[in-house]
Amino acid sequence: MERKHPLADTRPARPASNVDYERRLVRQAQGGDSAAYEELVRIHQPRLLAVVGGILRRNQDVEDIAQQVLIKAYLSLKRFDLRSAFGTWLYKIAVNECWDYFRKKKVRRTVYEADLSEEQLRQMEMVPAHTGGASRSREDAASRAQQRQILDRLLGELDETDRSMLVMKEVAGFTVDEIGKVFGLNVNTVKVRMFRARGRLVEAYHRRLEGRPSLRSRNP
Amino acid sequence: MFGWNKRGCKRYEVRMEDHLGAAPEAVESDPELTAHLRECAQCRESFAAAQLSGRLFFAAAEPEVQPSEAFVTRVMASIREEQAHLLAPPAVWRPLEVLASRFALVAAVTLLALSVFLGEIAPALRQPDLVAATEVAGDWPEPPAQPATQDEVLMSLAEAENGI
Repeated sequence: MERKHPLADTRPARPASNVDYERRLVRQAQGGDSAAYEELVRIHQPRLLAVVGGILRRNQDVEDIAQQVLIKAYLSLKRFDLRSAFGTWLYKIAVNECWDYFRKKKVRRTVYEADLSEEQLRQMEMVPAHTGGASRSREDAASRAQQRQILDRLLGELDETDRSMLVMKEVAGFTVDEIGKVFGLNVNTVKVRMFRARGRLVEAYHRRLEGRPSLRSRNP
Repeated sequence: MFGWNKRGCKRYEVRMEDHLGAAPEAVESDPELTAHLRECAQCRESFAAAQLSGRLFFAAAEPEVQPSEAFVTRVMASIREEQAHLLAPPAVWRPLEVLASRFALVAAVTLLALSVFLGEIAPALRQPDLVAATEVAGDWPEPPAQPATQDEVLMSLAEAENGI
C-alpha cells in the first residue's frame, strides 16, 4: 500500500506534467511551506545521489554532500526565479558542491595509485554494451565494485566539466538537453564535448593497458 | 597506437555521439555517416573508442539508488536546525555573552571566597593578635595609683615637693 504523506491534503494534486507539479511545490516552498520542499527532496533524492555519487565516488561522503546541496538549495530558494526547472537549478548546485568538496579536501582525483591488473582492465572491455541490468548476477557485485574503482581512476584524468557531463549522462541518465541546461551550453556543444571526453577516457584506458609489462611483451 | 589528438572529423562528432549505444542497423540508417565511417579511419577509430567508453561505464554501473525516507528526514531536520541557527541572535553579540557569563562566574567565586574568608578564616587570625596585645601590655610598669581622697592629694604634693 502506498504510504500517504502526512501533509498530502495540502499538496497540489500531481498533474500530468511533473514540471508543473514541481513548479507548484517550489512556489509553496518559497512561501515557507517546508512540507512542499520535503516533497521536492523526495522526488529528486535518487537522481541527486546518483549524480553526487557518480562524481565523488566516495560513498561515505555522498549523502553528506547531497544533504548539503539540499540545505543550500532550500536556503536560497527565495532567489530561485523559476525560469529553469527546479531540477536543473538543483543539479547545478550539486555539481558545484562536488567540485568545492574536491578543492576543499584537496583530493587528487587520480589519487588511487594501487596498480590495475591487466585482467581487471580487460574485463571492463569485455562487457557487452547493452546487456540488461537484471541479467547481471549478484556475484557480479564485487567485480563491479572493482570496475567502478578503475573507472574512477580513468575519470580522474578528465577535467571537471567533462567528468560531470559524462557522469550525468552515463550514471544518472540525464538527457543531453538537461545536461546543456545545467551547464548553460547548447546541445551540440554538449555532444561534441562528451564525444571528445569519451575519447580521452578511452585514451587513458589504453595508456594503462599499454603500461602493463605483460602486454608490452606480447605486443612489442 | 590510439591517438586522440587526431580527432574525428568535427562535423560528424555530433552525429556519432547521437548514434552511440545504438544498434549497428541504427547507424546504417544514416547513410551519410555510414559512408563516412567506411572512408575515414580516424572517425572509425573515434567512434569505436566512444562505444568502448559506454561499455566501461556499463561495466562499472552502480546499483540503482533506492529512495530512503531516513535521508529525507535527516535533510529536513538539518534544514530546521540551520533555520534555527539563522534566527538566533547575531553572532557579533556572542563573544560578549560569553565574556559576561565568565565574568559573572568569576565574581560569584570571588564573593564566595571572600565570605568564607571573612566568616571563618579572619576571626581565627584575629584572636592570636588579642593575646599578643595582652602579653605586651603585661610587660609595662603599672602607672601610679591615682589619689582617691583630698588627703591623699595633699600627701602626694608634699612628697613631690620634698623630692621623695
